[in-house]
Amino acid sequence: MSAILSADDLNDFISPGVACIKPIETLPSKPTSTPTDPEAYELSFNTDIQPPSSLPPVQISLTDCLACSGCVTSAEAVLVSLQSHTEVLSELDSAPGLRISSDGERIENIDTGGKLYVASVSPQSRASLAATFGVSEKEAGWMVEQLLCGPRGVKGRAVYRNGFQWVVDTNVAREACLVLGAEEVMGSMQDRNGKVDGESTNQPAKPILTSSCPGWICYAEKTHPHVLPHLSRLKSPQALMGTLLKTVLSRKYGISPDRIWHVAIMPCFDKKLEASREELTDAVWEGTGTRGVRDVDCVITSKELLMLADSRRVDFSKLPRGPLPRNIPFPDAKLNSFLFPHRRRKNGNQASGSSGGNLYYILQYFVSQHPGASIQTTRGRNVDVQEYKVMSAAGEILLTAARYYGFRNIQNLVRRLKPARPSRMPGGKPMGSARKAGKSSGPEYSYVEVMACPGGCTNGGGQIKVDDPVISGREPSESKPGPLERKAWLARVDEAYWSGEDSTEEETLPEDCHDTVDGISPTYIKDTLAHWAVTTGIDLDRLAYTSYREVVSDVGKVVDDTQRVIEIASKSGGGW
Amino acid sequence: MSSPSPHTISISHLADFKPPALSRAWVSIPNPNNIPLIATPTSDKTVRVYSLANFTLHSKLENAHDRSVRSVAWKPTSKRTSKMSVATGSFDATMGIWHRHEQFGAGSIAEQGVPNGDDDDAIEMEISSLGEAKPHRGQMRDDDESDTSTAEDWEYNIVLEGHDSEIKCVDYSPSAQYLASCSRDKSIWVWEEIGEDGEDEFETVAVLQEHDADVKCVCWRKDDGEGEVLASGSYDDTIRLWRGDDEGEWSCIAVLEGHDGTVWALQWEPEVVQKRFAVSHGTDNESEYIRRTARLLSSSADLTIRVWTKVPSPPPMNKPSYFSHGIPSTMRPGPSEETWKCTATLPKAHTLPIYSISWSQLSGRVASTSSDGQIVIYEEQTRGRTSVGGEIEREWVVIGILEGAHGPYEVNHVTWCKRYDSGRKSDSEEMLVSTGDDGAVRAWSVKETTQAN
Repeated sequence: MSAILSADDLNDFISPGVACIKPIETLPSKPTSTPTDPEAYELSFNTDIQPPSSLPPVQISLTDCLACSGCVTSAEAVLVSLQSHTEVLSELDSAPGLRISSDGERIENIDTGGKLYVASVSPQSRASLAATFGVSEKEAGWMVEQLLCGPRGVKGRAVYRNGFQWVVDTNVAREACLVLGAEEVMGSMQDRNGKVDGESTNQPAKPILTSSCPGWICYAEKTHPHVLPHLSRLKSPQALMGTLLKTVLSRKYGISPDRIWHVAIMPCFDKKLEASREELTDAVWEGTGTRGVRDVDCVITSKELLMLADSRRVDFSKLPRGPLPRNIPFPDAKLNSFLFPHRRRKNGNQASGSSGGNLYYILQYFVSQHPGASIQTTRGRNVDVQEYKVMSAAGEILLTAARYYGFRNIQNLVRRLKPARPSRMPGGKPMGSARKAGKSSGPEYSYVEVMACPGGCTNGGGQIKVDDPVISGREPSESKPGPLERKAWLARVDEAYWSGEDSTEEETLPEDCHDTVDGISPTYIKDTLAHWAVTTGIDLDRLAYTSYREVVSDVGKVVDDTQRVIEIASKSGGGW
Repeated sequence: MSSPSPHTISISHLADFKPPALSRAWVSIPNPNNIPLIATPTSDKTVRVYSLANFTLHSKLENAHDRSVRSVAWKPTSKRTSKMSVATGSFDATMGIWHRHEQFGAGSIAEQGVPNGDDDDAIEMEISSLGEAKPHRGQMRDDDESDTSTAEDWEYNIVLEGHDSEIKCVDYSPSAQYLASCSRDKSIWVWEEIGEDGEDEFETVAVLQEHDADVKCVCWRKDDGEGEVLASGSYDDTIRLWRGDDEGEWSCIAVLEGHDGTVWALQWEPEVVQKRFAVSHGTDNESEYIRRTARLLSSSADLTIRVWTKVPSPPPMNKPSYFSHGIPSTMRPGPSEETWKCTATLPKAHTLPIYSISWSQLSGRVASTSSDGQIVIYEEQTRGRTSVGGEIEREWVVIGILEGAHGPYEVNHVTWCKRYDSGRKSDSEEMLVSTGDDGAVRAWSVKETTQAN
């Protein structure tokens, strides 16, 4: 496999649909929770739908977007305006922050009404920053920490001089996701002779599909509900980290989760959408709670992190490229060493890809349980499709899996999984189905790693682009970068991502863990997760797993007024 | 609109295809495989297939789409087969693939119309001899084998979903390897049929989203050594050209800007024209014309019809011709950008948006039709050299106009079409077929008039 992934198709991102069909004139006007300019929320996706000017400006919340089927994902403009670097700043400036005692055991100013600020950073964002500023991914991590917590960072010019209490690496949560994900796949393979797939059990149906890409999840829920039973029930690293921080901190300090404000720095705009899911709030893990405080309050992209620095007039490139003095420890010794390990978490290598390496870990895990087994890789139709087979020493196929990145390849995957459509004719042969009934639709995958972006997460829509003035020193509009330029840039980001392996730092795993698979000890992970469940008194099932739901589409499917209008319009000559 | 030169062609009514649809008919596409059929998708959610031999309804594709069927494409076949395949694109955002096993037996359309024993396509013999030779595909057909009435129907075999909104146009590539669809959702999808013939397995190979608005039409260019190139026209007033590289990556290789309105239709220059003008350039080598890339014809809501020509790109400097070998493919430059320029504009004849153009494979003439109800025929003529040894100048002239082809109704489509009816004078005689908002499909004979001037 080449390090140079295809960035040719930057147009291959899952993109907004034709029009937002939300009936904007009938939306209830919500009280403005943040003191931002109300005009900023006025939306017009389609010139056909102009709200009368006499109406007050309309707000569309992310939850509305999730309920609407007008867009494939949702308009990036909405997402950016609702979860942006300006929101981070206004949050930080809203009140004096909560102060933790130096032993980390209690909050000193619980009555001030302020919040505790925490941040989690994705490795892809660090890689993007590393490539941009010509530093290593590790140094980029330190610079982010300096920006969010350090004296030369966002604190500097702020009203209350609030900074972030802890900055954690989502790789920590990712390792937990990898282990649980591998077990989910092993479980589905053992189960296959038992029950009927899907509905009746909590296990996803084979093939299990990656669920950490929010663009893919959103698209599947709106457009291809038939794949939902296949989605891994595991939370994404971002979501898992959110739950971990909110549950532990709120329990330890006896504060409501809305006193903890968690921002995630991600390579992807759609992560904002994920953060807004009802399934990822305290309503789920607290059970009775109805307010639904998000586990991740705000997501900003790599690019927006730079905008955050700019807004506070911090020159990101001049931030110290070293660690801050050791922070106040996380208020649980075991979780503290989990969240801030001595060894650095690896991002994996080229074979594991740039999207977290779910598939790669599953293969390694499986091989570790089948001595003598080996992995065979076959390139698919294009660079974003790969097929993997685990072969026993005797040459038997033990497991088949695949990687499908990018919108066009996802089409082929969902078509394969589509059930035959029943006939409209009496007599009942399947007719006009997406695929032939009874025809085997290719190999029986056990697992498919699905990502919406061609090239995977390092190529996310929120990354710093090759024509960004930060990199090129010129205005972005001057000339559009060609495919080669974009490809070369992505290769640099990938290189930064994979270069995270530092051989100088020895691995210091807890002593009783000798079962490591690809540097991760399943025993240690499960032990830590069990500790988390015990500490918080919440089942691991409610902490680490989530669910999906079909979003019913009503665009062009039902004969309603809209359709009649279209028909009338087309009769009168305008229907071209 | 008056044309600068006297009209030398008369367009006269030949026949109406019967029975007409009762709602808007969009286009009429003749079968490209020398089967005397023409397919007309309509807003009554069906496609009507008419016989070109006797101008009557042959069969219908129905019960599949939930909204208007906007577009239809016959699958080109290189070998003779009893199976016909059609792709339909509908406003319900889906595309259908249909098959029909034609039994050209006694009383078939072919026999009714085609005069005997003359040409290269003796359809009735070839196809009837194939008869049952090709068995129906296994499991799907078993139940129906006894039922002859369904066996002859169009079989709606597979639905291709993916578009978010109305499909405006579908087109098979000349090799039948690819199928392209374009939509109001601004995207163009390229599909590839994989597996054995008849398995009906399609994969999405590209989703092209660079147009800023509705994509109205797609049109494939025959592989001239550069691969099959797709042209698309859009409501964003641009034309784009697309090609896949050997890595399976599709990208835009040219943007043709110049129209001031929606680009409604595209046609590639037929070989007959490429040949004709290659000869007039003074080369005796018959294959010389192949070296020139086919020109592209476009019609628009800006009331113009334009001819686009590729600007020859100089060979890469200091690079041997085997340049692309030995270099990892990911390092090689992608499909190079091409430059195209508008080299001619046809004389203005229409007063309303020009919905359709057709560039004859036989005569090289262009026909156009418009919201204004006119059918216009143009010819590219040589004017001679303006300087000694200079290039031969060419000009487009209007040689025929018919007004009100469908009475007061808009004419949505026009196409040149080979005649198969008993009234034809020769094998190569062409007619025009127009399709209108009134649901009618009309055949027009085109005759030279002697009293020019």
